[in-house]
Amino acid sequence: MRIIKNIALSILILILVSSTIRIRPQQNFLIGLNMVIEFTDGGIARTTLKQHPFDFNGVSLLSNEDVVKEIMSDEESIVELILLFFTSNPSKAKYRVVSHIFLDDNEEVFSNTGKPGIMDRFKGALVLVVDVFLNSTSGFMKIDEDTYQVFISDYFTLRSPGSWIDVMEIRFSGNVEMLNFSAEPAWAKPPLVLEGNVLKWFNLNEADAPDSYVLTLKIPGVVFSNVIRNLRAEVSRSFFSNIDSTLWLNVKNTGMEGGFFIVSLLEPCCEQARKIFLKPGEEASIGFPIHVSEGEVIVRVFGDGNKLVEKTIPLKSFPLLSLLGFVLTIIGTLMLHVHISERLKKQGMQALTKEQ
Amino acid sequence: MQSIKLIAGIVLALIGIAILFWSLQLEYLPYSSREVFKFRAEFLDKKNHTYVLSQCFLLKNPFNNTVSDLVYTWLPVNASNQFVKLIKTNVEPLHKKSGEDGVEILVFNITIPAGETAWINTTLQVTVESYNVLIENAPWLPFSEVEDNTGGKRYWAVENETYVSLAKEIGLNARDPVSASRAIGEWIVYNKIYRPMPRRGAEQALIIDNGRLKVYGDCEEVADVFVTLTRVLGIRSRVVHGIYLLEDKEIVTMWIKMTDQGLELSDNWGGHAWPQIYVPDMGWVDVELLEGDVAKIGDFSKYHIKYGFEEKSFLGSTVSYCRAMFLETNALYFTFRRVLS
Repeated sequence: MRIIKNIALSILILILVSSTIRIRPQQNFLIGLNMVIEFTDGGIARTTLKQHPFDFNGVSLLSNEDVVKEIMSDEESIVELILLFFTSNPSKAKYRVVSHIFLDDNEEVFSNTGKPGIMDRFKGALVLVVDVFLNSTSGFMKIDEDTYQVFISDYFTLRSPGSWIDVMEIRFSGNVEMLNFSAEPAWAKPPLVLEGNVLKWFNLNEADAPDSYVLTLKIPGVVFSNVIRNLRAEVSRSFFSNIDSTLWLNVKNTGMEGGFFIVSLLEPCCEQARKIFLKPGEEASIGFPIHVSEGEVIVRVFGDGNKLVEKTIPLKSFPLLSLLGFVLTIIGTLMLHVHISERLKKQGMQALTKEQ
Repeated sequence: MQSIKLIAGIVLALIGIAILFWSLQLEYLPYSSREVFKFRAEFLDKKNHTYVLSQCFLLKNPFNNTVSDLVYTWLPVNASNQFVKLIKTNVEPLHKKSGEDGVEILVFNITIPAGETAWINTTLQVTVESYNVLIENAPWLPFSEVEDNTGGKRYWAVENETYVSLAKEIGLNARDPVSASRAIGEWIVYNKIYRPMPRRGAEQALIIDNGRLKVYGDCEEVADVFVTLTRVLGIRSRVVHGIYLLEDKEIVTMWIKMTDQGLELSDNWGGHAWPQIYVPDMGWVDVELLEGDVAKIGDFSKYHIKYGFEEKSFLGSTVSYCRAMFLETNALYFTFRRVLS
């Protein structure tokens, strides 16, 4: 169950200035939340969320058009919340909205409406169905061949500690087999119904409801495919500034796509890395403070977690080229000096001859 | 013969200068004048300031029947430079719950008859360490930390083009993360237009004013913009939510009340948010961009009380101090009594 309070929260947490603010609160309501997660072959979690709004007296608001409209207009953020049950970064998760939020008069939603120990039954539900591809989520981990651990966190309660899922049903279909499961925290109630391929939690309040579920499942046919991005880079130039002991590297995006690159520098004492966004063909200079006097440093450039470049740069002295450059400069300067002196001498002789 | 000498001299000198310049590039570091700068991170001028904090929340049952409800009350967190000890509560808590980013919440089971009210009072001892830091030649974080901890979140639009180019313009030339953070902080201090408003996130916080980018909003926008810009550059950063004591007195009381007109806040209400950056060997360093017109990095006052952090939570963390599902929170009182050491 979650509460929709439209204004109050944000007002409570800001305002550094001294001021008195008066705001008239909007009408608040509660939503009963029933969720069914069905794990199917290939690693798909078909997630069905059933919502039923009601007021603080436990009276259904499903016939209230404004409330229904508000819930339906919130679909994008509800989908994001569903993804957050399975992953820490929803922008990287692959999913498919099977059914946009629709009103199903035949569905039922169970929710506690404030009467201690009683679960009310509401007729009708606003239903949303989303397929989440587990191989794109951070909560999905391969243990063995066809055996995986799935971590599910109740993001409603993580986001707002007073919210929870009233009824959570986890089921398995096709060739998916549950090997093990656990739920946190320790004081959460175990599933009331545990039969064959279904786990079901009826949660009268937030303390009853688990915050997270860990399942060990046998799922045949899961394919991990990496999205191949064509990030390429080169370290086009390196320069060491003696003045402040800083190594400057020019990094160039030599690929056709823009993106974030992480440039890592390994000194014998430590590792440090900088992040830089480069458009195709763009080059930028970045600096690293150097903390060692000798040895070598290794520069690596990563894009999308893949190593694109590795270069070793010795920190030992190598003065021969400097010496050669210095000698050539001296010889060249001497030759110029001799030339100019001879020329001046010649001009002087010519002037003297003219005078005589 | 003369012209040959001239040309040869010029050519040799130019080649010599070119080789000298090239040899001074990094791959052949000249050992002559190279200095090694050591990383220094020290706390200077650290002082403890202890307060006894009373948090009093008034709950009301607006219904015609007795309501039994779970009530969640936020506590100041035990964290770097802040130590919290729970002294007493007037009601026995059910348990303590931790939020996603380490927020600490006491959960009470409260039963109130129809139309009546009840108080939840919590007394805590909060010790805040004010400090100054000296950080020199701080290294950037290792690859794994940059990859794992500098990504975008709902309120931090790290991949937004405006932020990417702004971060480059302000901080790319910095040689170390603290210098980059300082440059970003100074830019924000110089370009902020302070307006209290509900949180909108970094993406909405930058506006163009007279042809220049400005940070528009309050402490949360300032913190969100700072965190976004630093994260673009690979600096680990986060937002702290808490209370700022606007008065330097022995006893400071601030409050929020629900009245017929809506929410009413005391004139000294100090709900606040500020950013932090992570420095190796030192941990989280506080950044304050709203105390005067300077960017304070590691110059932390005794007036900041931390209630929660926001780093990994995708949708951000909420600190609402006291919250219940059915019962109404009608008043929140916070009294800080300074304890002389």
